[in-house]
Amino acid sequence: MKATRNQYLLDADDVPTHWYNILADVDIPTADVRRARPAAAEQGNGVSAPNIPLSMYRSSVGKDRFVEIPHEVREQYQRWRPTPLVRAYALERALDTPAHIYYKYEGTNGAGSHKLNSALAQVYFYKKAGAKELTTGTGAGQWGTALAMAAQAFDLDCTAFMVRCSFDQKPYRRVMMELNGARVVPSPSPITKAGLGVLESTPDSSGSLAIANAEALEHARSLECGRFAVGSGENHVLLHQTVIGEEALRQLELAGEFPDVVIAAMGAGSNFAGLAFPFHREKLRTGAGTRLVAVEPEACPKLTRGRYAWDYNDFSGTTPMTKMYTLGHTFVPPGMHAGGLRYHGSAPLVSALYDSGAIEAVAYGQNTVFEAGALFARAEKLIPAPESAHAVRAAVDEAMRARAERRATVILFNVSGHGLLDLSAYDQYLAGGLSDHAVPAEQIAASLAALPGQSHAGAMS
Amino acid sequence: MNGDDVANRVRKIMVDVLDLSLNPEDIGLGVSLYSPQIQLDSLHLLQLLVAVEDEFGGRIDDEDVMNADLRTVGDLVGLVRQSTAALEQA
Repeated sequence: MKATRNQYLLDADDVPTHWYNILADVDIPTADVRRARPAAAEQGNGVSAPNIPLSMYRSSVGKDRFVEIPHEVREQYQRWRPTPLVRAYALERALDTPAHIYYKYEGTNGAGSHKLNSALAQVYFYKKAGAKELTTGTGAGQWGTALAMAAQAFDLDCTAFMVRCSFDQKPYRRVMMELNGARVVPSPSPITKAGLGVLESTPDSSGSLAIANAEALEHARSLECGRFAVGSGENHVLLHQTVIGEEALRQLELAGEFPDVVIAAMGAGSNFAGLAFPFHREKLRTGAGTRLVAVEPEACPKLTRGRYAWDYNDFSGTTPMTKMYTLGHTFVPPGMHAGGLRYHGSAPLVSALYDSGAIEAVAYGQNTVFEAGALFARAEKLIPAPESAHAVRAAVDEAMRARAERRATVILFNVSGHGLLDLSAYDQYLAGGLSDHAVPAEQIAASLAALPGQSHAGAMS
Repeated sequence: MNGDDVANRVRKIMVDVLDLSLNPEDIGLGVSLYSPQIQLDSLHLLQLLVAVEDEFGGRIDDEDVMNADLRTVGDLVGLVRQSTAALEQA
């Protein structure tokens, strides 16, 4: 009997040679989505050198459709890429659905998530620019782990400010970072003014990525050759992650399929963009009706309940402003397990696409997400990270819809990382101890009222 | 390319990119990039440098930018002069 093929594998030589730049195909001028702070001069803290290496920035705002991946970065990618594309037959059987379900699995590298794709690229560019140390804010710790590993690969120092609730919930992430030579500081911390400010007003703060980023930025500025690196949101991060979608396109070609729906979890947007943007290009090229769906937690619903407005990327309002879907930079989400999805805003490119109707968004509560994660783990023998389980939830719902409609819908989603360091969360789920954290409307209204310069949408457009 | 030419072109780029309500020739080399008239930010600085590269048709080295201490318009002009000189020698 012929074995059923369930994995679509490529060779190391098939690792993409180029990242895909969506700016070649959509008209989103940089000046329309990023803007300097109006009060920069008055506050007297202008900087005398940019934070981002010019070559990395240049490629992320240009119009070249494909940006060559530096040899040194591609060589690092080839240590674990291409990642597998898997036909989830067991999940299909468990759901008794006619849908064809595929998932791309990004958890095969040492860091355990897609974050290493951008970490290696960023560290390469920062080192080339002369940086000696990188600082960062990290939510669940996936980005911090990836940056620590990449920094060690290219021989740079690394300090990660880790959101307090994740620092407490995921001690092994801290160990992984420290094992790779990074210094890990729980945020809010007393070692920065930004952290101290939060601790003074909220001593038991569970933290947020916006606070951690503010601390990392402040710390970087205190170092002679330090720079602040971010794991999502910025154009260049989204660019680096497109290796995921580029590989998936080729792998689905091997399977003789093109997806009807592409699904990925949405933190600030690099995971979603990494899978979805190359498919958006193919949609535009072929006229395919593929739906692109971003999945966010009900506890941090920036796309589904946020506002498209100018806002800061960090809690202290130090960064330039971004036109994005946001819950407000002062929004502190509840301490849920998908720490990587707790960011208050969305990448400007993802926001612009959502505003134009090119992509969709859906939000789920924590229990239904873990239910899907557990179902997937039992069927596919792979435990997804809580962040990835959001995509699983949406994929399962699409598959159930396909069953109801008796359609062989082709579903593609990204398992952005494994959940082997999230077993305490699954343990809590199995014990029935997880809470759903839908955010009260008053909390969102309060943080939106603190948006810079105005309290209504589009005032600075 | 003489120094005045570089300075004039950089000042014109500044007016265009930063959308300044100033005549390029009125921007003194000693003016702070972070003064109320200019209000340069790290993001604007990158936008400015990319525009300079487009204007002069070359690439400014990452390390030169990272090591630059850009406080005045003159500092920025100096960085561009240094980069264009390197390009001409290449």
